[in-house]
Amino acid sequence: MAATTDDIRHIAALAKLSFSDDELERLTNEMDAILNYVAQLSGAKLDGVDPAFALLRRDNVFREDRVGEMLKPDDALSNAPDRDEDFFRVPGFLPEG
Amino acid sequence: MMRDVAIGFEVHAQLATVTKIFCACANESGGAPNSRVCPVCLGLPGALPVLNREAVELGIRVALALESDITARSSFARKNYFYPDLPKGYQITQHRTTLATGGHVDVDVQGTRKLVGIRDIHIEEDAGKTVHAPFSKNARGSGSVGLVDMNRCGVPLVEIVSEPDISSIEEADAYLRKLYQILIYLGVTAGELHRGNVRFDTNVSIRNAVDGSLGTPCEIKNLNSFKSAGRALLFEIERQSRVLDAGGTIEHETLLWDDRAERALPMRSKEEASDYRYFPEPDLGDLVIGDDWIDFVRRFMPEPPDEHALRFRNWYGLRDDTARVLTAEPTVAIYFEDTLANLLRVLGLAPDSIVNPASRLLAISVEAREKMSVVFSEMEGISPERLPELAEVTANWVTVMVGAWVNENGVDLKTLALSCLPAARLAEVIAARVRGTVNEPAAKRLLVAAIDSSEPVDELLERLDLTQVTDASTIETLVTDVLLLHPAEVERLRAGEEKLIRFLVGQVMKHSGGKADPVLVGETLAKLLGIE
Ligand SMILES: [Zn+2]
Repeated sequence: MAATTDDIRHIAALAKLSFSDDELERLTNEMDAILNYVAQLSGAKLDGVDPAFALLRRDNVFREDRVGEMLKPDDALSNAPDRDEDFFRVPGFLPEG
Repeated sequence: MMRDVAIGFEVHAQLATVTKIFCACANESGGAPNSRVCPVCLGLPGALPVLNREAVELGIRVALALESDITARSSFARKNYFYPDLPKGYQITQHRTTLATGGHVDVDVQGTRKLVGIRDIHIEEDAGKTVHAPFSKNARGSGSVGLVDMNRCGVPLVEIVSEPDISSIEEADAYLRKLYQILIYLGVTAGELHRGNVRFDTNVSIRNAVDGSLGTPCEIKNLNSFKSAGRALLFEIERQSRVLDAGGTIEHETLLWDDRAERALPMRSKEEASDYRYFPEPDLGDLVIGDDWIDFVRRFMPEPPDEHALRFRNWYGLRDDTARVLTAEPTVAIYFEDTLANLLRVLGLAPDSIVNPASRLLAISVEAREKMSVVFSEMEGISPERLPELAEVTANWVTVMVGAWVNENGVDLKTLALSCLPAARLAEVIAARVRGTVNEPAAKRLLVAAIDSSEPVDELLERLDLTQVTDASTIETLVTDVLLLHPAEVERLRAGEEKLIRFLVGQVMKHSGGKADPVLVGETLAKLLGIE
């Protein structure tokens, strides 16, 4: 397992973040350390064991289709960095529906 | 150069549940921005999604109607991307295992049948809505900004992914319309295209003329109507053809359709395209669907349109074209069937139980069909020819006479059926015509009067004096009067100008105040003039 600067740059681009070269190098090293730590798991013997995606998780947990409590717009927007009337206001972006 | 194309679709339909897919917020449209939100759909820390059972059942309906294999155990996944309308930074969808796989849509392309394969059906959450606001200043007081409304966040969607089996724009149009008809019929979506209830993405590739292999597909997103889908396909096929004609190669691209400009523009840069880093959703358990559950859904789900048309032919002896016209929309089909049941009751041909409200409430489910067939087996005194005849008459009233009124007055049929003209009332109007109490023009006046007032139909007949004159001697007097008033026309008719018979029938009808039986008038005229 080795994280490259290109990997970090790619993930940063997906997250709409940009980093300086120094930051990229630091993040690459940190990511590499994390991946190596987790990679120890690949040493475990798992023949015949199905993949598990979660522990103690129950199947078929449902809600009935009834309306419950909703937030008032003022409460919904109370932590928003910026608002315009009852809309969240965000920096410009490409239109997408 | 004509090229072979392969077209596939991803159709997203918002499910007509009462609440959102993973939280108890109302699933509605309109209203103030950010008024139907909660910690779950806003993606606030610590909030957990819980799956809406109804959304699953509506998805199962779609799978059953498309004859897909329902997956016994499916799971949810996170599709990661950053966009202001997606507060969690991921969309909960199905990826590794989906609600159903396989199946097909049976499409009629200008008289030729074609099966379009379905790859998979899954359920997922919708994103919020973004609005551009060029005149709104951001917090720093500069730059363009966007406004976000999260009301749509978490609205349940069913996504139906087809195989790239479609080979022309005409087939694409027929496929989308048929699938839309099925979705509307199943009652799984409100289906208002202008509100974005149903949206299409398409992928298009061009087949290599030499070796027949499929080229790289390009995706076009954001198609909101059948028309824009057709235009976008034409645009994309022409674009790819030009590239190939010039000796170029097609690069995979995701394009966004701009309906106003009638063109598609590349959406994401290449390195980002389809890198969604799917992983299993840790907050939701698997969805396990057993046969009992599937049977339960099947039992109470509306009949899909093709089966419905077939049943109309089998039960009522309707012609194929009539059955298809009636089943184009479920509202029309249900109204027709209700009216016919009432007509049979009014004419004394079927027991009152034929209009059992309990069976009608279930509309066209298996339950209702079983109840109706019991009533049919108890129907006596109706000849095998009489039922198809009354069924065609009723179909004509619903689609032509009532249809014309609906078009002229800009009222939708559902509203009409639920207010001024319930099926039972329309049945009484039709019965007056079928019994010969009124002639054709009077029947039309009676229909309008029945819509405009709440008086009982028999009282309307009397008040408006619409009852047809069928008494032979009264009609003979009317005819004699008219013949005396028009000696010149009678002379020309006798000399062979046959079209004048129509003129004279018209004069007698006018003379009778429109009430005479026109058939009887024609016969009497012929008799008195001694012509065949
Ligand atoms: Zn919510």
